[in-house]
Amino acid sequence: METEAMQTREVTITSTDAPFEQSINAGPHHFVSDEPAAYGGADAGPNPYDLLLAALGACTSMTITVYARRKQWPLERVIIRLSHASVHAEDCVNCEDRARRIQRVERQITLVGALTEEQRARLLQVAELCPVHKTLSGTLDLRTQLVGPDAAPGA
Amino acid sequence: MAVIATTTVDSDAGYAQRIESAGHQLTADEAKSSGGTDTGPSPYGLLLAALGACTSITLRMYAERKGWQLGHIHVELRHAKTHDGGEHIERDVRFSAPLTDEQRARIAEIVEKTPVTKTIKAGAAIQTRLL
Repeated sequence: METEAMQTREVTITSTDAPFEQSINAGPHHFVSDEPAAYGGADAGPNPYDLLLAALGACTSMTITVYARRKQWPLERVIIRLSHASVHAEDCVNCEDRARRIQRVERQITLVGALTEEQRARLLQVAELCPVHKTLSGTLDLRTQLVGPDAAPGA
Repeated sequence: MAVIATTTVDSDAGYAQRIESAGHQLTADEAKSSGGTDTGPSPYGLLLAALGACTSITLRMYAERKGWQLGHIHVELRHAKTHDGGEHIERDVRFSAPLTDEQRARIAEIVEKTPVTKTIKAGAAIQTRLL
């Protein structure tokens, strides 16, 4: 059943004359994405997976910060280190497709401040509640449309 | 195991985040209406950027291999949350060059196979360590 959208965010990506560099607008913010030289790009910006990790890390850090601030805990600084890997699902007993790969993101969180062990443990739980974490670890409804221009005449 | 990307995120007070990724610096923040200082895109803005950039780059790579001219590629993405707690992403892909129906059909298939699309649709296992 369709439900009315409550909150919407929009981002636009436009290709440039450079081989892979993309011009990105997100509200008032502008930045670029590119591939490294090893893949034929000019390395003018982070690649798409770097942006994905940046999204997850920024959301994690903000979510922890908001919680600690509301609790008035002495959290001074958050450092998140993320890596994304594609791994063979060798441990998957029921896998019939041997080439199957699973995706794994490793996230290391460093909390700077005079926090108790209980507070640190709670903030680790809070990290799992970050909205981008939920989006990435669940399955998402993604709808794609190819729009204009019309197909070539006579095609 | 092949590591595809590594990124670090650093913050002091407030929501502004300093992001470093393979020599590139980015900033993420929340809008002022959400208590931030709006010095960079929000985390969901970056997620859509990752998806859109991957879509456009992959289509360009595919088209080059096929010898197809796509012209400018323009991708618009919207992330929406609904009242019942569901969420979805809408992605519109536009090309300035005219394409045949066959090309459009093939591109529609390739779009669904772009790497970040697969990661987002299938979900990724996230392992967290507190250091």
